[in-house]
Amino acid sequence: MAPEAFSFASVSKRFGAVQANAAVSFSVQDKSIHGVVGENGAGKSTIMKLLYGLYTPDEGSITVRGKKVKFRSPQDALAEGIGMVHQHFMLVPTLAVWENVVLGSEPHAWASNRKKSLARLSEIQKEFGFHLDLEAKVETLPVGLQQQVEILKILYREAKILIFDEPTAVLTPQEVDTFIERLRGLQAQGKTIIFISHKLKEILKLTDRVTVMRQGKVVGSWETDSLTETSLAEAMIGRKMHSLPHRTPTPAAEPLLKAEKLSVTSAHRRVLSDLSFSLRAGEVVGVAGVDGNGQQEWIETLARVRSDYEGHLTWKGQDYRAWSTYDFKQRGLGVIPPDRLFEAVILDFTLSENVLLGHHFATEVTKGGRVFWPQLAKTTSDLIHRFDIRPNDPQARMGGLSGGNQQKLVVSRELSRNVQLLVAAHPTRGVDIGAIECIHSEILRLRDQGAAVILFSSELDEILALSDRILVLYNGKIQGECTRAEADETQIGLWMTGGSQ
Amino acid sequence: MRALLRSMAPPVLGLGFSLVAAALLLLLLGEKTTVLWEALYNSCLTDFGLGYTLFYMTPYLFTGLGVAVCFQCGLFNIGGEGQLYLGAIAIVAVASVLPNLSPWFGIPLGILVAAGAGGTWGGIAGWLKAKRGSHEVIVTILLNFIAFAIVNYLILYQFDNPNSQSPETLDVGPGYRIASLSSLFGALGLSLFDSTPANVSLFIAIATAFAAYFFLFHTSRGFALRCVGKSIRASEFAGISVQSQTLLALALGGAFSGLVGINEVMGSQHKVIEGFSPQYGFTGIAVALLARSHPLGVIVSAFLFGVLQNSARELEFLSDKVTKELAVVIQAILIGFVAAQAVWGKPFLRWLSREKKR
Repeated sequence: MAPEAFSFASVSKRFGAVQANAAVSFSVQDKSIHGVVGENGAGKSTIMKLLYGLYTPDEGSITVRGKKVKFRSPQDALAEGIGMVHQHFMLVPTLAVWENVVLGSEPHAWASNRKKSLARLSEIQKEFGFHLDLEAKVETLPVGLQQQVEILKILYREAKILIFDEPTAVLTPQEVDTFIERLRGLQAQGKTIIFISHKLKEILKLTDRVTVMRQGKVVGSWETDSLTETSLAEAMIGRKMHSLPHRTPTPAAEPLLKAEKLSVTSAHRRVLSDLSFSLRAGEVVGVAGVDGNGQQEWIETLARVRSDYEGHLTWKGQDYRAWSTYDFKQRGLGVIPPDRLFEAVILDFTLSENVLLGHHFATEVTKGGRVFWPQLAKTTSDLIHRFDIRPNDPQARMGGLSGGNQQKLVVSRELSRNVQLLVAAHPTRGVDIGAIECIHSEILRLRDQGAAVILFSSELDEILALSDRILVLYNGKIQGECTRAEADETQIGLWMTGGSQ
Repeated sequence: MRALLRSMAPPVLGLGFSLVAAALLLLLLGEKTTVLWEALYNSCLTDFGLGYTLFYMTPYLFTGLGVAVCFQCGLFNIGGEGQLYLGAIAIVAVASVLPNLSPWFGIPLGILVAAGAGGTWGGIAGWLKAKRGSHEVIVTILLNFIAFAIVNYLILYQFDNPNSQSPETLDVGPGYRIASLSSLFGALGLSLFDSTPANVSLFIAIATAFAAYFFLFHTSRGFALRCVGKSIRASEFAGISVQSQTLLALALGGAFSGLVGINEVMGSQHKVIEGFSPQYGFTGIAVALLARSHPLGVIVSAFLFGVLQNSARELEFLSDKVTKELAVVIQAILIGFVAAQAVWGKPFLRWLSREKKR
């Protein structure tokens, strides 16, 4: 048995009524890559934040290299050689790479020693095989390199245990491969790596051991070699997976939605240029691409949030601007907005009120401009039952729900009407596996009923699982297009990064 | 019920704290604290004092609603002061054009023009915010100055009373007068609120609060307005026009504030006196804050501010060491405690419930 890097012994943490971690025990071997997987709200972030000193445990103890520790802050954890790369980067975009790395641990309180820092950084770069331009401004770097800056930051602070929180969520398939190589390199240099992820493929490819968490508890820890994708997924959700329903091909039909040379200019920048595409009844068109290549503007245009586009956009032969947004929603436009918290729900409102959002003149719950709350509560209850949303209480505040349940409510609301066009933007972002399954099967059910669906997602797996046709967006243009049968992950990945054939 | 108690606790505690602070202040001035309790007793529990309290409560109720409805839409209406003066002068204006209407027409017309004038003034701010993106705080403040200038001009040069030395307008005709509470109760054979200016406007104000509550929490448009107040992005995705809700909220807010004119002009003075408002419009912000922008809560908090206003008058009368300004200080302390409840409210409640468990 290899020596132990750190271990948890019966660690519990409670936030108000929520037991985030209950008697969590597991240990991680030194110089290994250890995966931590679980659904959202399974407690994996909390347990890592306990290790990183952001929270203190209510009960239990943490042992690092045989020594019992009590961290009061991330500084304490860093002193013991524990560093964390957060999901959302904490970088100052206008500063150079080396400045970002040194920031917060300058050798003197009043001045930074540029020469010394640069020398040390070059040394670290050489040792771990990084090739960053230390003088480059962080804002000019692509996301993959920005992540390397984050890693450099904790290496500079001499961390021996590196925690990565969903590191691959922001990367393209190609970047993921280099990233995985990089983690292997770090392991070879004697670092211990904790890899928190949703993506089972990566976990299986990369890790030595895996700990699965569910509902704040540890389900178990296994050698990765003994696991398959299915067994891991089932351990995570605690039951058997349903397989995706069988796919019948879309009958050829006249397009419902047609765009010709659609362009959008935002803040004097052309963010979408000359898009031409069409959507037929009974098909799912997936739009793949790294975030920030014009998806937001495309979604907003289709969702009728913005109408300042150039070119032609028609729905059943009629100009897209013919109806008001509200009227269009009543006539069969469903939208799952990209940013759940800011665009899809209102956290201060009850579930009922959130169901009313976007349908506040709908006839079955309002009459003469008056809202009938009891009726609405019944409608909400029905949706709650159909989609298994928790808690089962129309009066509960939206803000108290987990991300997955919030998203299920959004999906149920948007699909509760007779939807003919669904614009689904990142419908499963930040949502656990159980909810993903539910949302995916609802989208496909809608397709089979003859609706047109356009799906935006940064998860290639999701695009591949759902789409009949795939468009790849890069830099405001459609870089490539293929059918479900032709889809090739490598080719799509190339298109996503601006390559052609 | 528990939730209601919890939401009520911070304002009530804030009130308690500010009374303690006021008592300490009196001690510092070398005055007995008993005058404070005496003043409070007089203004709440005597017939005459309560009459004045209810009279002061009415404008606070209107301006509080004017601020609260805008808060619900995420907007800050600081224009209440200008809106209420315009509402008041509009009644005088319509009364001078149509002086001989019967009360059946005069009173509804007066109410309508007061709301219309205030609503137009608020609507201008709303239009500028919606169409031009001008910040409503700055616009409503600036519109106040314009309103003061217009109203003062109208008082001095258009509707002035030539027989009076002070800057005030002519009286409105009997068709524009709302009954006082004492005459109302007198007709029922009761002697209540005699020789106080409290009048039926109070009931109109309370009815307005209920109407505002119904609008905000039981109608589709009110729901849309509250959505915009919570999240502009989510409203856009829901097909709610942020621009029209902004316009609607500020116009409504202006209309509520404009209704202060009916208490002053139709209910008590029957004319507009320059500077009649002791900053009802600005204090309305505090009234709405204390009520957490809930229209029915505004009824309670307007009463509290009526009590404060009247107690200040009483204190001045009871003690030679206390000036009217002290009331302003007490009001400020109260607002401070209520506004800062995010800081002390929750910890304090937690501390209280811990005490109980032991």
